[in-house]
Amino acid sequence: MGKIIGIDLGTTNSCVAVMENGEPVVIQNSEGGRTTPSIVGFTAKGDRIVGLPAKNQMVTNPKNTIYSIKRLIGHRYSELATELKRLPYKVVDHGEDVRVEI
Amino acid sequence: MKETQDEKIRQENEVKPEAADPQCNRGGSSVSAAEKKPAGESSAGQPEKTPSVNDVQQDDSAAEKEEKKEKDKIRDAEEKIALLEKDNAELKDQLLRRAADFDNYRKRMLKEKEETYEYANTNLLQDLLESLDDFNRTADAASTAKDVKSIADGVKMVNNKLVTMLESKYNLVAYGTAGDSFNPDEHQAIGSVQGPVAEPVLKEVYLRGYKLKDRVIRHAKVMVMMPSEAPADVKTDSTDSKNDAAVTDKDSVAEPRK
Repeated sequence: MGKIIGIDLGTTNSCVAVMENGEPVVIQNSEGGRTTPSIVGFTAKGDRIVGLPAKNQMVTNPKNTIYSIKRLIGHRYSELATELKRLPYKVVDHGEDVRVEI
Repeated sequence: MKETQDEKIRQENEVKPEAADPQCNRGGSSVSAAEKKPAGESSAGQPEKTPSVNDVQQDDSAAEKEEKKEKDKIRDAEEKIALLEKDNAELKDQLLRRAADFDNYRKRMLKEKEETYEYANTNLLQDLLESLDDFNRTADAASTAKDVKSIADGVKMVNNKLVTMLESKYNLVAYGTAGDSFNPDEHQAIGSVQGPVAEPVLKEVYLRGYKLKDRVIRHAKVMVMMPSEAPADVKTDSTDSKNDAAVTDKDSVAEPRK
């Protein structure tokens, strides 16, 4: 039987744990942190970076760094007017939900 | 008749090496039991044979042999089942014990780790005490000294001593100077400007970054200079990069996020 993993995909941070002998144990990321920022950035070079490095370059790359994407889930474009004003990345209408354009 | 006896004994012997040591007695006893049965059968058969006719004798013994064979097979199977059940129970027991052992081990490790964590700083603190003493002396001297320069020199000396100790003994590495290439793993951008550069570089470092060996313990807080969007003239001295009104983002429409 394989291992059981639990993932908490939060709006700002995410956390992963694995069941070991009936107890959940949090897995550290490559920087040694027990939680990881839920941020993904697409650099000019075409790389995709996630987590803390993505957060570090957010300011230099606002249009192509996606954060708090969970706030958009389950909403129609018309419902997100105030939210979209605060988001630096482009969000487009997609009928019953929305999409992000980078 | 001899052949079947040998066959049975061979079967018994096969079970023996597979089973663990405590099982040996069983195997041994089953072998002796198997040996006994055919012997018993032949001895039981003997008194019956003498009065009957030869043909009937052979039929009877053949049928009995078949029956015996079946019974033996069943008995072997039952013994095997018993053996396996015993193995199963033992393995389950071992499994439970292992699980308990692991649990205890883990608790012990956690406790030790916590303790280590609390007292790990002991060495570092002891080494820092020296620098603390230096600073105390500097503060005392500064309250009575009239020569500002000597105090400034003194502070510099204490700083150097502290940094040297941290770098050599504790593998502390300071990094981050203007002009370095921007690396999101090491630098945290707190602002960005456009400039005549080919790739993102650090324009200014507000807070130095520190690494312990190779792991970043504090990201450097920096101002990043991003390449201006004008495609040509990266090397010119012209300062009109900031006047670029035509700064548009790459509208490369990536695949819609699913």
